[in-house]
Parts: sequence; C-alpha cells; structure tokens
Amino acid sequence: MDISTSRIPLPGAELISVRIGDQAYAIDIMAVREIRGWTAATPLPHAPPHVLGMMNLRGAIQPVIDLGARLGLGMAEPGPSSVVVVAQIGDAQMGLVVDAVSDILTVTEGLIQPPPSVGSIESTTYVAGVMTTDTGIVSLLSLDHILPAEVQATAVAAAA
Amino acid sequence: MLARLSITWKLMLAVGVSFGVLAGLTAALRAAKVTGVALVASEVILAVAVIVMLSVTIGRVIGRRLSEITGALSTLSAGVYDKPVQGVQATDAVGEIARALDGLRHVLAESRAVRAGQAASDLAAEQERRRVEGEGAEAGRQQALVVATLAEGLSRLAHGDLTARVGETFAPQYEALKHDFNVAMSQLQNTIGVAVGATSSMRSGADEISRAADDLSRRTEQQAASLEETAAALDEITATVRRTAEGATHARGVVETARTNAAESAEVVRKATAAMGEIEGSSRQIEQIIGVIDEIAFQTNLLALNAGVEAARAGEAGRGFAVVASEVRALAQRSAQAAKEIKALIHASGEQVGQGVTLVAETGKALQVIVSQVAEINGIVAEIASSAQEQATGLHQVNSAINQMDQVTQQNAAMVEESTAASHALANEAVELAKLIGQFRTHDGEPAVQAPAPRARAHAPTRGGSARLAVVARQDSWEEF
Repeated sequence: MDISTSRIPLPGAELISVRIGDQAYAIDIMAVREIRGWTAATPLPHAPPHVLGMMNLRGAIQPVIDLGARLGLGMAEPGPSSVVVVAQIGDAQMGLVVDAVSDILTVTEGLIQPPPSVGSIESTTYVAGVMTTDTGIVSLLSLDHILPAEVQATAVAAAA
Repeated sequence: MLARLSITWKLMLAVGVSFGVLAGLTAALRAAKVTGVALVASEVILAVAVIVMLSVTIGRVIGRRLSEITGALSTLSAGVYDKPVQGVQATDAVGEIARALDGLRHVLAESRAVRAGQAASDLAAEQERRRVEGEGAEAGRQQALVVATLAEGLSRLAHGDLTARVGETFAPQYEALKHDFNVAMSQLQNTIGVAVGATSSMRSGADEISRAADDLSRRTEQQAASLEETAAALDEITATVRRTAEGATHARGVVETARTNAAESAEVVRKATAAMGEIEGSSRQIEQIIGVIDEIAFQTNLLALNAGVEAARAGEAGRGFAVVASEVRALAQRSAQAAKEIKALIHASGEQVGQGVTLVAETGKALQVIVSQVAEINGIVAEIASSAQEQATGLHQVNSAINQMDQVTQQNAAMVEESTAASHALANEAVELAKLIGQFRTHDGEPAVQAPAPRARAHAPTRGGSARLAVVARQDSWEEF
C-alpha cells in the first residue's frame, strides 16, 4: 500500500468525523475498531503529556492518547460527553480521546484535497487531506504518526 | 265805775242784811239787778226798805245803836272807810249788823285800796308805754333802714346779682343781720361761682360722655358684626370637623379592610413561596430525568456509531445495517437535541422560578411592611378620630361661649342705648343748668355764663329714635344666627 493510496481513501469509503474543541477532524472508518464513552484512564508514570494513561478494553490494556494534545491543540479536559475512539494503528490499538463524534461521512470523488503546503513537515505528517463540508473545513487525519514508531512498537509489544 | 262799786257795795249790804232779814227781800234785790235804772231804783228802794224795815222792826229798842249804825253807814256813804263801826261787840242782831257793817267797811276799804293800787299800776304802765313808744320810734327808723337796705340787697339777689353787699352801718342789734347777710351772699357767690365752673366742666363732661356713648354704640355694632362672622366661621369649622370625623371613621374601616387583605395576602405569598419551592423541586427532578434521557441518547449515539463502524467494515453486506445505524443515530441525536432543549427550558424555568421566589419573598416582606404601616395608619386614624371628637367638644364649648358673648353683646347694646339716651339727657340738663346758673352775676360785668345754644336738644330725640331702631334691627339680625 503506497502512501498516496493509503493516505487518501477512495470514493465510497467512509470517514468518522470527530470534534476537538471547535475544530472538526476526520478518521478513516476502517482504522476505527470501536467507539466508547469516556472513562477515567489509569495514569502511566513518566508518560508524555499527551498520553493520558491506560484503559482496559475487554481485558486488553491500551494507551489513551489526548488527540488534541498530540495534534498541538492544547490539553483536553475529558468529561462525561467525551468520547474514546479505539483506533487500529498498524498492529497497535489505542484510545484517542476527542470531545465528540459528529458524523459518518462518505467519501465522494474530489471531496478530499491535499493539505496546503505551509512549509511544515509536521502538518503534512498528521494531515492526509482536507475536505469542505457544510459545517466548515474538516481535516483528514493520518493516524500512522500519532505515536512514534518506538512507542508503537512498545504498544504492540505490550498488546502482544 | 263808782256806780258799779256802789251797786256792788249795796248788793253786798243787801246780802249782809239778808242774813238776818227776809229771803224775799233778797230775791227782790236780785231781781232789781236787771237794768241800770231799775238797779238804782231798786237799790234806793232796798235801802229805804231796809232802813224802814230796821226802823220798824227794831224800833226804839235799838234806836240809839241803829243811829250809830246809821252814822257809820253815812260815814261809809261819804267814802270814809277808816272809821270803825261802833257796837260790834254786841251779841244781838244790831251787833250782828254792826259786825256785818264793819265787815262791809273792811271790804270797802280793801276794795278802795285795791282800786288805788290798780290806778297806780295803770299809771306806771302808761308811763312805760309812752317811754316804749319813744324808743319804738327810734327803733322804727333803724328797722326801716335795715329793711330797705336788705330789701334792696334781696332785690338784687332776686335779679341774680350775687355781688350785692350791705355797706351801711346798722344799729348794733342789726349788725349781726348785716354780717349774716353779707356772709350768706358771699357764700352764695362762692357757691354759685364754683357751680358755674362745675357746670362748665359738667357740660364738657356730658358732651364727652355723649361722644363716648356714640363711639361705644358704633363699636358695639362692629362687635356684633364680628361676632356674626365668627359664628359663621364657626359653623364652617364645625361642618369641616364633622366631615373630618366622618372621613376618619371611613378611613378606619378602609384601613381595617386593607389590614385584613394584607394579612390574607401574606398567607397567599407564603403559599406562593411554597408552590415555587415545589416547582423548583419538580424542575430538579425533571433535570435529572432529562439527564438520564440525555445519557441514554448519548449511549444510543455511541452504539449507533459502533454499528455504523461495524457496517462499514462489513462492506457491501453491511450497507443496509449502516442505514439502520444511521437512522438510530439520527433518533439518538434528535433525542439528545430534544433533551438539550428541554434542559435549557428547564434551566430557564428554574431561573424564572428562582426569580419568582425572590419576588414573592420581596412581596411578602413588602406586605409585612404594609401590614405594620397599616397598623400605624390605624393608630393615626384613631388619633385623628379622637382629635376630631375633641375638636367637636371644643367647638361645642366655643359655640356656647359665642352664644354667651352674643347675649352679653345684646345686653351691652341695650345698656349702651340707655346710656346714650341718658348721656344726651345729661347733656341737655347740663345746658339747662348752665343757662340757669348763667343768670347769676357772680362778679362785676356780664353774667358768668352765657346760656349756650341747646344744640344737643334737637339732636337727641332723632339720635335716640334711630339708635332704638338700630338696636331692634341688630336684635333681629342676631336672632338669625
């Protein structure tokens, strides 16, 4: 799977749109394993600031990531209305905490455009494309780099 | 007179003889007293008869002694009474005659002595009378002088001249009269002079009294008018006070009703506060239920999302399931939206209920204040009512006082009328008195007081009549109030 095909879903594919703060983001629905309500995470010592802790998903311990913090949008304050999106990233599963899950979008031809070049590799690393909807611009997130590779490996090892 | 003495003597002789001789002779002697001629005749007859009878009766026996007695009688007839009658010592009838003759002689002697004394005294009296007549002539002249002088003085006095004095020198016995006359005239002059001054003062005083009485009458009329105005104002005040009392009574009723209403309103406020609290409780319960519904919607949404995820993973096989999941998600979102709206409404309702509770509590406090203020108003209105009652009592007293003043003023008016008439009469009398006094001349020159023109005389009757009419009119007007 090359980068272009892996990063831009084909028409007919479906996306989960989530809300972080006032901003909407989209996640490929095929990367989503489950959507849960917020439960308090068990803190993980010496974890990075965007790692909120661990959670137990039917016996499997998975890290809980503050997606907003990871995207550089500031620390989230999880509450009863917060939602944990359990995503399959590579071989690892992790919980991504967002403020809400808004909708399920169906990708149409030409809906997704490449992100504008702003001279920042970080932006293109996390944003695979942008699309315009009635409620505004939605960024399609590329979850491959949510966690560094070593962390992903650690998570995979932990999951194994 | 000698004839009468002779008659008396003969009568006495006959009486003395009659002791010894006949009673008829005595009766004849008495009968012989009737007339002068008859008396003389009878005396002669008697003497002759006695002599004859004595001569016949005694005769010769006692002829010598009878001759003695005859001699004695002759002596007596000659008017010689100092020769004693002989033979008085005899005890017979001749002795008795002698003794009677001697007694007659004594009687005659005494009678002559008495006659002599009487003549002497008559002479002395005549001399005295002549002396007195001599003196009386002098006294008559003096008296005429006195009478003329005093008459002249009294005549001047009669013409009102009090300056008349007696300057002539009177006899000593009339000096006192002159002195008394002059003193009396001086006293009279002084008195009249003082009376002149007093009359002038009295006239001016009477005029002042008249003017003062007129002023008093006018002021009494003004006082009556003021009294009438006072009575009218008092009536208005009485009516006002009565309206005040009625208004106060009405206000007491209204205030009592307001107090009752306020107390009932306080109960209503308490119930409203309780109802608001119940509404608040119900709103909290509704909020909780809404929270449950919202939670259910939230979970339903998550379930639908998971279903959508699973359907997407299932590919074409999960297409229909995805539609159902989408519908369920729509329902869950509508439920969540409805719950959200209800929550907002409940929240707003709760805020409004809170405001309502606050307002009702303030209303209750305001009603409490109103109740207390109404109580104060009640007290004030009660004071107003009692004050109005006191005012009514005071006005009653003032009314009676005004009535008394009215009566007193009427009496004063009557007295003023009387005193006005009396003062005018007094002024007239003073004028008359001045005129009378003015007729006297108390010093040289014109009479002291010119009789003034009786100006008040023509004035007084009309004044009295009009004043009387005025009094009647005033009484009529006073009776109206």
